Amino acid sequence: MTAFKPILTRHLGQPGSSTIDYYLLNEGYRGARKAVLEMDGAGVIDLVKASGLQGRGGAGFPTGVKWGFIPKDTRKPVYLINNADESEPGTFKDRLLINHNPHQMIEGMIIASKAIGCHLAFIYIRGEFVKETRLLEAAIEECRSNNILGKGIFGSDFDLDIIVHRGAGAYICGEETGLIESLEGKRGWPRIKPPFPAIEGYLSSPTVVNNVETLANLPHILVHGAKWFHSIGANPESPGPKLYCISGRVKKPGVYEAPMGTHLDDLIENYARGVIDDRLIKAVIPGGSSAPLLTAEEIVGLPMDFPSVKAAGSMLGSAGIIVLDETVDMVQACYNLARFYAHESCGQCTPCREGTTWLTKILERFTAGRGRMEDIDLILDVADNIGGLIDFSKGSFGKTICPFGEAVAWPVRAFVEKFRHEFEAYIATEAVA
Amino acid sequence: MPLIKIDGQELEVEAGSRLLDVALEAGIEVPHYCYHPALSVVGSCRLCMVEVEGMPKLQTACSTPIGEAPPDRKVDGKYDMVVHTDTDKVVAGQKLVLEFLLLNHPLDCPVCDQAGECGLQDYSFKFGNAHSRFDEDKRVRAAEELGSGVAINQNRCIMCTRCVRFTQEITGTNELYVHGRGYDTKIAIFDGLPLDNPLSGNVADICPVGALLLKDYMHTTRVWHLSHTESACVECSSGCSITVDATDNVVRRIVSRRNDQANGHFICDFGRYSFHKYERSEFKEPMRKTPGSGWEMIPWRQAYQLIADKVAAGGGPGAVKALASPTLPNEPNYILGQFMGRLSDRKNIALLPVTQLSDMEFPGGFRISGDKGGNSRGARDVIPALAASVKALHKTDTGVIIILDGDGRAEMKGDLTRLMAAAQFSVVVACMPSEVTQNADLVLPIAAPYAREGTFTNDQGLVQWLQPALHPPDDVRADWQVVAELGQQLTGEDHLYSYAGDVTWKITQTTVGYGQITRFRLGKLGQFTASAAG
Repeated sequence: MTAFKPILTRHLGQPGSSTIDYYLLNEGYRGARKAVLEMDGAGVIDLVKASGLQGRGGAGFPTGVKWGFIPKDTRKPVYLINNADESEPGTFKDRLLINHNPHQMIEGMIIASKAIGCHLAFIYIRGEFVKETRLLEAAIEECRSNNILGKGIFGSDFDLDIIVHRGAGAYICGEETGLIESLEGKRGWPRIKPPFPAIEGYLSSPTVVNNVETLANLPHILVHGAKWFHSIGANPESPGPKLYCISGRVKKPGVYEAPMGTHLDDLIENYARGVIDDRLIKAVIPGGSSAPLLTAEEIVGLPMDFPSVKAAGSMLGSAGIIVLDETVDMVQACYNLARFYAHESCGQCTPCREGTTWLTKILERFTAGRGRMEDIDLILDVADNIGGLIDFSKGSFGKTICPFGEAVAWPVRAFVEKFRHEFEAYIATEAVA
Repeated sequence: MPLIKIDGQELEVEAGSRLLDVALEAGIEVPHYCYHPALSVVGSCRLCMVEVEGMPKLQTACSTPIGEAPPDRKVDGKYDMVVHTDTDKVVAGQKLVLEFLLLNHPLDCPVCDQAGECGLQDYSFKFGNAHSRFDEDKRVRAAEELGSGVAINQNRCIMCTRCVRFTQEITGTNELYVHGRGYDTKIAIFDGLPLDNPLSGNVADICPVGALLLKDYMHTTRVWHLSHTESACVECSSGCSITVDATDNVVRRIVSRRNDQANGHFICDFGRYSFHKYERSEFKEPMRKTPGSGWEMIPWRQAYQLIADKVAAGGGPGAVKALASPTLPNEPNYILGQFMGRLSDRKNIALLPVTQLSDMEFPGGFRISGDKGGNSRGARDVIPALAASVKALHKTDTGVIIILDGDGRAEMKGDLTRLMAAAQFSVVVACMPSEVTQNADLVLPIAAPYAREGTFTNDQGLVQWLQPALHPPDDVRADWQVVAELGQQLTGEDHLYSYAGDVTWKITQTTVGYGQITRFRLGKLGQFTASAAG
């Protein structure tokens, strides 16, 4: 880890790092210039495919492959949407990137637009990010007056403009089709797929939705090449630099940049300086609140890259690492999580609308000392009925339109399965009382 | 064309068809709530899940298109898709959705108008659990009025959003929307913008549960007591297919009946509530106006004789004028045209004018015709020697005038007023009092619309059979019968009709374009005249 120098956050804290003057002085827009002036779209796609870059929003889908789904012969306009609706609990990396270096991300948008043939791109930004919105709007204005955005950018025949659109505070609008609906001015209800956004997205046109951090990687791939990027990190299947958000019961919570595949216990001990009061770890949520938690034993030596975390029974997701120490009440934590999802369920499809609140009500009863032994299995069953993956005999997964159902079902199941004794203890204690 | 197999049944279907449509058409029941064939697909209720071989997840049939599979991907070497709708996995999927939908449902079927025709009730009975595992407080919300005709019982709503999509896609009026989020979502209207469009009643028809209710029908009958009569609406020339629901010889409600040749899936509120107009006291017997003392009831024979006497005294058969009715079926109009032809060579018959507005068209394709005659096209089709207008009848002296004013929809004005004033004696054939009957010398009572039988031709040339849902009072006769008896009296020739269908048969023998039409070929959905079909 000592050899690794930050890439995405290298300008963090430098005076004026959010301005175009600073960025241009520090080799800014070299990648975009190269993509626009020297390459064609297919060339950019091939380069990014070769780099192995995976989407940083949560699913870890290969970025170049996603771009490749845009039909080549389409007569409709093609849109790029930068998903800056960062709202997964435990995740706060995109905000940092926007705050300290908005131009890096804009440069990434130019590169992605060149790749897919987009001439009007959007930044869908979380509504609460007011300061960041202003910053982005100022940065875009700077680009326009420097011929970096607008007509014939860098003197080429390539046009591109960017519009910043603020969300209205719904978690579900971070789901790409919910986001597109919201951007169209509608209620942020996810769409049924197919058709996928690459075929029919924003205004029924081919659309790519990329995360802020994904886009921020692109300038570096363009400048240093696919091979360089591919060599970063321990696992060639999941390469590159990665921003890890570490929060919870750690001494120094924050965003840390490290190579993909850095071990989870290493991140907690050496980056976040260990657990508060040097307590023991009880569990860790590795990839934002939707990722099933891992026990203290499970995190030892776990490489934080997409395939490794999946193999461990969870997901890297947004790399929002939440550390729960030995004093955390798992029933309360589970209730807190369920309450969040019940509050954020969009209400469109039946299992999620009804089930998330049902779960919350049962857990609320537990915390009030009115839990019953049979409720524990009921929680598991309701969770499975919302978004269960595990038991195929019960009807398989895919019970909801969007992955939200799974995002609540999996972590709740993990809480109950891995800490069932705490749920049982809640009942036992009250029975005595 | 793709070849698929659903529950062992082989089907050849159009590429691009929806799996749910195909299954339903093949008579395979796939439970569903949010899907409606006239509305966009949202796939949100999650009930229509089926198992498709080769797909790990259950699929919602409503959002699964059927396409041609590549040769190497065909199941058993020939099927493009193999579907199961009744496996344990599917049933488990349906059970879990129903459990969620019933968590907060009040289970107030005993006081719910929808009970007996409720998707939630039916499927719960079939797939649901007898006991609820939900031991928490239920979500309870107040019922609300959405507009002058429709109310919502929020507790029964399952958020299928059919009604919202209806106001977005069919009427384009957007009164309804989803308010709130998640568990708190509900159907609502915007402040000061009630659901009052001319098609608003349809939202209650398409609501799969007892949430949206017609205030007009609320707590009126239990649906299992209703007799359902498949008929057509006669209020305008669109000729929508309807089902007339009645008990105790009283119409209780009218609902839309799907007919892709006419109205599609919906009807307008004018048609839906029109039956109330005819609830006013009907005529019981023929009535003649007496000087000074108002009206006097007289027997039918005496009435016909009186007319014959007046014809003889008033310039003979050549001075008899007649107005055919655009609100009555083809049958009485046909007979009127025939016997008027016997009485004179002159074109002494015209069409009674009724209100003409411009058509009202909606974004979803639904149209309310501006011609409030209903059967204007049919009346023109079956009367060969029709004068151009009422005014044309003024050219010669008028002795007796016979007016078919079926539903009392004509307005007493202009040429009609002048013609009645010029006539020595006026006979009005009608089912209820109107301005025209008030100015008559003799009124011959006929059955009201929902007690009528015969053919109606809409403005597109679609001929439909009116099926009587009610029976008329004892001494009130069918429209075709009254006109036929009158013709017999005036021409001296026996008429040969025993049933409305006898007249229809005669029409098909003699009327251009109606040759292929028969009472039984019309079926429930009607048949286009040859000129319309060509």
